[in-house]
Amino acid sequence: MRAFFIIIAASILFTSCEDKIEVDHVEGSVKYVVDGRITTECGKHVVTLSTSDKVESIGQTPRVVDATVSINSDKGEVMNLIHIGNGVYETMDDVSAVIGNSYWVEVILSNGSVLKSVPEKVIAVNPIDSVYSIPVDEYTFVNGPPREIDDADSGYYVFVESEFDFVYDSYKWHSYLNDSLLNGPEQILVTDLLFLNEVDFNFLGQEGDTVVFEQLTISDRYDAYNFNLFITEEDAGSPFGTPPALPDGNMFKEGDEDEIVLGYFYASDIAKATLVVGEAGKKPTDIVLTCP
Amino acid sequence: MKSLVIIFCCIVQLGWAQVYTVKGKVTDASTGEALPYATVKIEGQPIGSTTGFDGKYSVKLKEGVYSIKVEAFGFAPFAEELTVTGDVVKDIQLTETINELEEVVITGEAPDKNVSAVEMSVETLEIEEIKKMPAFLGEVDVIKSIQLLPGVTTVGEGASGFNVRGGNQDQNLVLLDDAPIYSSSHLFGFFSIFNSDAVKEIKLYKGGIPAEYGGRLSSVLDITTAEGDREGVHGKGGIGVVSSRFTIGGPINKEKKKGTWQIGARRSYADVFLGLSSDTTISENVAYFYDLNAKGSYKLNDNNKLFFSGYYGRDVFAFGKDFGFDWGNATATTRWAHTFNDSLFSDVSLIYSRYSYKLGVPEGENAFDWRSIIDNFNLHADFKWIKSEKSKVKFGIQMDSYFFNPAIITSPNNESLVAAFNRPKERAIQPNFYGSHEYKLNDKISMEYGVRYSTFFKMGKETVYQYKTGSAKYDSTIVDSTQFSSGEIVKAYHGLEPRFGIKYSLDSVSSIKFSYNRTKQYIHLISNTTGAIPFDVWKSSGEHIQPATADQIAVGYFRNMNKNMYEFSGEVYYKNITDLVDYKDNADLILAPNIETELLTGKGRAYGLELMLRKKKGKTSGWLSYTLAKTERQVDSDIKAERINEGEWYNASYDKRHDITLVMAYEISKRWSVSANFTYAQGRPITLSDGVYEYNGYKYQTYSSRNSSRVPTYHRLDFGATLQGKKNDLRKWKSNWVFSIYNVYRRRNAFSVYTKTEDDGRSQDYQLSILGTMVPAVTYNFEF
Repeated sequence: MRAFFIIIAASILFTSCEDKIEVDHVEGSVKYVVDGRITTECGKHVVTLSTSDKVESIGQTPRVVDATVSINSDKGEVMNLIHIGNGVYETMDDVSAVIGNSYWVEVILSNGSVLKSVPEKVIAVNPIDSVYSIPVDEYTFVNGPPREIDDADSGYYVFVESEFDFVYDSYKWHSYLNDSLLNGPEQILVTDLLFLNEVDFNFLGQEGDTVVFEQLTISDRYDAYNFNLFITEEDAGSPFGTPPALPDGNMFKEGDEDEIVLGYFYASDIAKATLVVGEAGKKPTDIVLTCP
Repeated sequence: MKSLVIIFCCIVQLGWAQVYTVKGKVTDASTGEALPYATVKIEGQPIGSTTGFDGKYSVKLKEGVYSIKVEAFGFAPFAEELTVTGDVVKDIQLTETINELEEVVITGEAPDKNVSAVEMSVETLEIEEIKKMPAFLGEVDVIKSIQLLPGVTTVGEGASGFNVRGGNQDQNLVLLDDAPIYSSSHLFGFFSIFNSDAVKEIKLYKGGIPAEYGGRLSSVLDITTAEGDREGVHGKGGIGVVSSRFTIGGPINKEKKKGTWQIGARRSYADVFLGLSSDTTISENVAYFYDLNAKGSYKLNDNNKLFFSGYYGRDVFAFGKDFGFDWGNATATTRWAHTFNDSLFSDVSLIYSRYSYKLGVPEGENAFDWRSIIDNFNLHADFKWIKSEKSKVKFGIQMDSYFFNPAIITSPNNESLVAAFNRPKERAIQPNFYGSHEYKLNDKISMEYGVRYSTFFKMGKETVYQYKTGSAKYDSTIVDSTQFSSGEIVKAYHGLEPRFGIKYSLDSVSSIKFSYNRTKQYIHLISNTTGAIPFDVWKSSGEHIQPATADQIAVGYFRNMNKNMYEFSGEVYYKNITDLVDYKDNADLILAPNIETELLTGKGRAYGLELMLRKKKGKTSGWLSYTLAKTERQVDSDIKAERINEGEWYNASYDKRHDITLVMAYEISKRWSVSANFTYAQGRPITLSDGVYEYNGYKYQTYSSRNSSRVPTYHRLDFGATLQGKKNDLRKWKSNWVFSIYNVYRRRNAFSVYTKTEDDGRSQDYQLSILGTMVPAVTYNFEF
């Protein structure tokens, strides 16, 4: 639904012109950035620590390599993470989140400051209904090509379908094609299901491609965070855009809540589906996710 | 307070002397149409009058012989000897001088109302004056014209609405024949909804707002449409590059002069050209606007007259079968003007206004219909009691009602995956009472004082949520709720709004004035976009949104020169606003289930200096104005999430410190005239990034302080030329060609400046210009 407002706004700019310019930016204070998650999938979970940098900076932003990081749960679990390089901290063991538990990250910086996230509760996710592919030349167009795909001459249309029962609203999806994440910041597939009662995603693949599709439940707050991250970048400068602002993450500095800490740590249940394009897809329930 | 009451009583009693009444009606000799605001003077006497909306005047005189003189802008002065031995009825017809401007150069004595009247901070533009200005794409535009006046700003080209002395766009009460207009723009702000051929006069109150107006904090834009011609059926219109328009009107029962009628229409035709494309992705698109105006008057008898005015306009867009949207206003005003006696008049008006929009996708799994409606039913009874030329009293009662239906979302077909959804309706009633007294104490001092008592009742059905004390309002901090049934009062507000103005004449050509007014606003435009969009939602005050209150004082010096040919004014003002609605960062105002969780309450202040030198007559006319202003907001709270910019004062998005405007029209010959506008203003405030950070493998910009940077300086030159058809008094058909060039030197004025992260992770600054080039246009106008 939000997309329609964006399209409407974009359509108005038919008379406008955009020029590249150079502006002197006031340098803001350096802020810590926490980027991490834990899901119900068994494995190593990571948290990346960095800081903000000047607008003109090129390349990677500065990393924080000397912090002590742990993921904690409301059931008393403490999962310590170790620095594996470049500001990335990884759980020492294969772990998985548990549906119904709440999780948060705690970061102790070398100067003694403590960064924490507001706990996120893991909500059970709906299974993915089906993942399948149809050769382009066998697909029967009813209303033209499948949604969001340009017309194609060869290959396969890949379909992912899920239905929802309005029990929970906010979801996030990741699509991987041969291990490459298809959805970047310009198309973060996060939807609050206020209006939709089912979703489907389509993309174009070639025979033998491996498709992995993840469906995660997220908190309403993380849904809003992702949307604002996207819309701030997308709407920048638009006459109908809102004043740009930092998205409201869930990180804070203990003892000084006025200090801004960027980023987000979230906890999700995850459903996964895989498919080798041209073959029958595995049902999501066939994939074992949780740690034994 | 006691002494104030005594002074009031004394002032009222001063006007009780027994005298004869001279009354009548001032009309346009060519059309028979009433001429409001004409000045009626009795030479040698310290009294005079101004005609009312219906052209009527009334003065009290003792027995004697007088010289009566009547003047109105654009008309030749009228003077005649008048013998008063009893009550006198004297109707006066004035002859238009529009086509003979060069003959009235210097010799004509312009009205000196700007110096002699109590009112200040008021700008009046005749439609003929606006038509002289260069017009964007040839469309004569009321809203763009007032944006050239000191104290009036806009966030940029293509943005709808306007800002007056630091007020938000929703703080302007825009009235079309007394009916409130909620969106005054076509095509997202490129054109106004007002057909220039249907408009007669525009009056903008920036301060010193009279007591009969209320409901908005910052200004009143009062637009009066023209009546039909009393002498015969006449039409006028124009054919332009964007739209064409046609208006026709005439008398009802010409012999008995029972009344008039007039209808007008305008339509753009970009969609016609789109349809010619062989590319179906273009030809299936629809983009046009249209509007219809109608006005009628009917004289029941000498003491009773009926008026009707109506407007209907819409913008329609459709992008093939993918999606479409439309929006527009509809208004209807019925007014009964009654004369009780020589000094007491009334207007009873029944007013309806609707603003609605619709958007949706007609086909497929995303199909939906979204409708939103605001209905406004108002009943006003306004009275005017002219005790004497020194003492005039106005009072009335106004009952306004609001019905907000913010969102009705439906699935238009079975294929749609979209679930039906409604946002709760809102209802409110707003009874207002007012009274004011204009009194001329002596030759030097005149004053007008009054008060408006406004009340507001938010009505059920409604669920009101209570939030955890000491916490920011979020859905998660709701602790309780209260149900109100239909018709039950959910929340009531009321307040006194004093109005005061005084004028002291320094001499016959100059005066100083002071005004104070308090205004209250009970409904709010909920919008956090840079420019207002047609899909913004209006919301009434209630449990969580307080009515906003503004107090404004203004002091001004006014001087006319060269027998009123030149007018100079200098005003300083200070405005303070409390309970101003503001928005959290990243507020979602469209879909948030509880809108109060996205809103913040703050305060505002605006102050400035406005200088204007105006030439109203002669071959050269126009004005030069300079505005020095500052407009700020503050949102502070003990709760971090309810602060903006850490609670410090910050610039409003339309704050412009310096604004210089030159508007000129020059009559080269009887057939050729040229005009030009030049505007130079400081760039508006924006929020610019102050760093970058990485999240999820991608770089994003950081922002710390709202509206702390500015776009580059804005300046623009427009040029216009008019070629009149050859003059032939025997020929009914008259025409002219209007040529215009908007943005002559192709300045790419920045609407916004922003920074984006490129694919390679670099930050790149951009400037968006809405109109980055010269826009020429030609329009053919005609009348018969």
